[in-house]
Amino acid sequence: MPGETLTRRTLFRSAGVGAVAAALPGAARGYLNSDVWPRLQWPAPTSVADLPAPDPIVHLVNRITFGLLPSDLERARALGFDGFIAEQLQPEAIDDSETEAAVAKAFPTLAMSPDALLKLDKGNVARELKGAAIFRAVTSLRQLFEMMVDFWTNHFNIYQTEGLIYFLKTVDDRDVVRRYAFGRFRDILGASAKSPAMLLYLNNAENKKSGPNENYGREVMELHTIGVDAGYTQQDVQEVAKAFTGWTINKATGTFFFSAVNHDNGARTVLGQSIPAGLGQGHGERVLDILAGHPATAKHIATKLCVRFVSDTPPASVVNAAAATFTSSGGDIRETMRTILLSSEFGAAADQKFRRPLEHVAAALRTLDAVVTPDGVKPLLGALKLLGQVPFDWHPPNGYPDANGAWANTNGMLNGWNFGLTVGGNHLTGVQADLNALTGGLKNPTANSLTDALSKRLLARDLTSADRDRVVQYVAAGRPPTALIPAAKVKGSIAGAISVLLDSPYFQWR
Amino acid sequence: MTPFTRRNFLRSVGLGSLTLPAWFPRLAFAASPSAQRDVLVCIFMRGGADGLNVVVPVGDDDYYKNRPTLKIPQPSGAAGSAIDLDGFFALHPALAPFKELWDDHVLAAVHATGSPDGTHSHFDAMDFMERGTPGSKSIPTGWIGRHLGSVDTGNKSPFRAVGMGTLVQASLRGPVTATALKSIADFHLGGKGSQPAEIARFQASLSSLYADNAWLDLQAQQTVEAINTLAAANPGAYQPQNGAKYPDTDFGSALTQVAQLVRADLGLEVACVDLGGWDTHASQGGASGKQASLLAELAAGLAAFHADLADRMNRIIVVTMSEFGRRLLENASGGTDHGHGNCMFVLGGGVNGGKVYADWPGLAPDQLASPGDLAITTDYRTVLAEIVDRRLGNPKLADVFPGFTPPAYLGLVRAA
Repeated sequence: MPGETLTRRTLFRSAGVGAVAAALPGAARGYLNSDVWPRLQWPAPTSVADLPAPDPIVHLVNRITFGLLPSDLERARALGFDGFIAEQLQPEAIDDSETEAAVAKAFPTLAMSPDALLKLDKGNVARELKGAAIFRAVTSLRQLFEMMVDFWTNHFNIYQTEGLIYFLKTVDDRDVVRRYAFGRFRDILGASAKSPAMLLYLNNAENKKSGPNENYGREVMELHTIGVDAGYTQQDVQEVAKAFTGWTINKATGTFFFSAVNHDNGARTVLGQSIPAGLGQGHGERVLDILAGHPATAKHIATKLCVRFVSDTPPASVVNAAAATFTSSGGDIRETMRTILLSSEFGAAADQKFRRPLEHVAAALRTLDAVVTPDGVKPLLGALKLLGQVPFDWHPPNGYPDANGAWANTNGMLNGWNFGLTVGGNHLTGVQADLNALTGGLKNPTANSLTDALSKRLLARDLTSADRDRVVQYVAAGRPPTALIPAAKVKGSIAGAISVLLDSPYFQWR
Repeated sequence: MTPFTRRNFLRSVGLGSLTLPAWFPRLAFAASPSAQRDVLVCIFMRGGADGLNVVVPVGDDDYYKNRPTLKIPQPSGAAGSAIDLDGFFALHPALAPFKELWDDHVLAAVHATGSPDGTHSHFDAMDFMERGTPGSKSIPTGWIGRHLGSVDTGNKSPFRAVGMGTLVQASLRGPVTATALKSIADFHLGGKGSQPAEIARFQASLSSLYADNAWLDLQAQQTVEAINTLAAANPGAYQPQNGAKYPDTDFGSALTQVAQLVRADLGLEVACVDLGGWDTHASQGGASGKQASLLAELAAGLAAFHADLADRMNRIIVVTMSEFGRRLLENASGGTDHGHGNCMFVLGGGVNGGKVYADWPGLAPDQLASPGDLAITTDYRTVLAEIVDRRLGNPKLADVFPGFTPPAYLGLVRAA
């Protein structure tokens, strides 16, 4: 397996769908200073990127994929704004068998049953899951689906490293997060509540009538459903904890198990609603019904999705619209996403999100149309460790922060720049890009022509003239910008220009 | 291909061998900020540390009644028994390295302290504590950030405020940009096979692309300055002194690097270091186990830091905190749920150490905070205010802790 190339799938042929350029209403960004949704862990900047706006399709592909893979950009241009959204919202109709076959071959533990996983020595189980997350982010055709997987991975965060969780997060990823990423919220919530990795991570596996453990009871409300400001009390936390007593796992099989003997079968009151005694496992199910159907959950999930896909400070209008769809559709995640992506607020939100490390790394590889092999997993994980976002490696239950202010710091800048230097020079083990091809067959390049060709290809938008001059000056390396680059220097000039463009402000935003 | 090293880089861009670009280091640190004020090292124990099993109230019977399996035995000299401090309080045995610091009067503890807001949410409690405005999120900055913004030390170093790790701690948010630092050794630009002169050109190019004062440019400029400052200082491989042995963990590595920054005189005024893993709902352990391992790491790290910087400790103050303590009554999974009051440690040459500062509220049912937690009798801001005023030389407490007027100081530290 090492060294074997996972080929990028053949591109979609444009399917004859008219390339209708979507008209985007409401392009003004004025909302940033008004009517914003409250409760931010990181203060938002009053203005973020100050760059020439990308065209709407570039904004769309930047935002709902892990970066500007040329074939995805082409596909989006062919389908149009709404068409590409519609296609990406229907991942089951996208044939991604090539990615999945490669994943199955390179990361065989992903398909294993819980009991088979538990029989393994520690081995590579965690690394395979991390590797698959990176590989799918870079390669999958179901890009929005993979972004949703990333969203729910963080929403229902599980730190992968400890004890049996090391093995069972693989099951959670497959049977909870990936299975329901576009499903109904009650279904993903219910699956998560019974997921052995979650039961262990938030200690519900040890939640017994004789002395309830409040960890899951609290976080299922604060983080997974109604949110911290929904007005629940410590009494509610304790009632929810009691409702979930006895929800545990069979440690031999690694599967959910309801232990009636450890369950407090009494009547409960949760958020003012009565749950009768004697329901057994049904107590927990009723709590999940109450939480999933609570208006605060609609608002909480809608807010988080808008923060993920619109901006750190999404306007209340789009949050309210998403919450309304969430409620009216019975918690349909796909329909909620459709409301967000087709909103004018989404259309007007180009460059509002600083790329988090996984997005940064994946976007660089996709932009370069690089081929990633299993050998690439180790160095890519190394880069993500320096940047601070190894998949499944966030310890507390709230998931990696989703705020520009969290990630835009000296450590992130430095290590992001170094990643650009490394991939620009094609120096990352297990990752190969055809750098010459990126110039589009440019002959006899000058600093001017090389800068123009590569900035168009990698950033898909115009640089300001001042920024263009700066890149040209770097590429020219003391020669006149119009002078032919000496043949011996072309390769290095291409690498340098790629690195400086990937490290420029333009590439930091999505 | 010559591997790129900081030394090569220094040779190529530093000290006059090239025409220095305008952004080259503002090495104009205050002559020595440490001459007027302590360096503050703020340790955040994330997850809600069980303070009742850190500085243990061995003189309170209710402690033993409520901790049937997690209790720390009375001090007896036996292995695993608590280490007596004053007859009422005792240290968890895993904190043994603290005993010498205690006896040397450089380490003090405060008990029944914390943030007065009653939340049991980790994330709200951390947020409130780091903002320094319990119960309110209207002010977006952190207490350390506001301290730095309200005292002009003339120090322009990019290492004036450092958050160890990949994310900057919320307490550092404010008008002075803090540097997020994971690894000094890796804090330089360089791809595989890059030549130093090329890297210098590359860096100059990035500097020009991030020179427009857009929001992100501030971070980029800070990054370049930090790179340059480290290159010029060339701190090299760091050798801890006095036989100090830091734990081989992220926490140990962070403390080592804080010491390295102090030694290199790079203008460090505040550093934030996190130690996570304290959310011990299950299998917390007593004298040994999960929490004991974390305490051992904490104690080994701070003892090493103190030994390493022995000659500097008169100008260093370390303070520990955690978002809340844990429930008095243990649960049935060998753990404790989220609580309220907690303990803090303060370490440094200016500390009136060897004493537990506590107005002990008691642990009887009617003395507990709802739903069964240690009550808070000392606002954590009272502790910090005394440090800010007396050791950091900043009397502008209304800026640092808006809306809060500390009662009389505890006498925890001496005026600098």
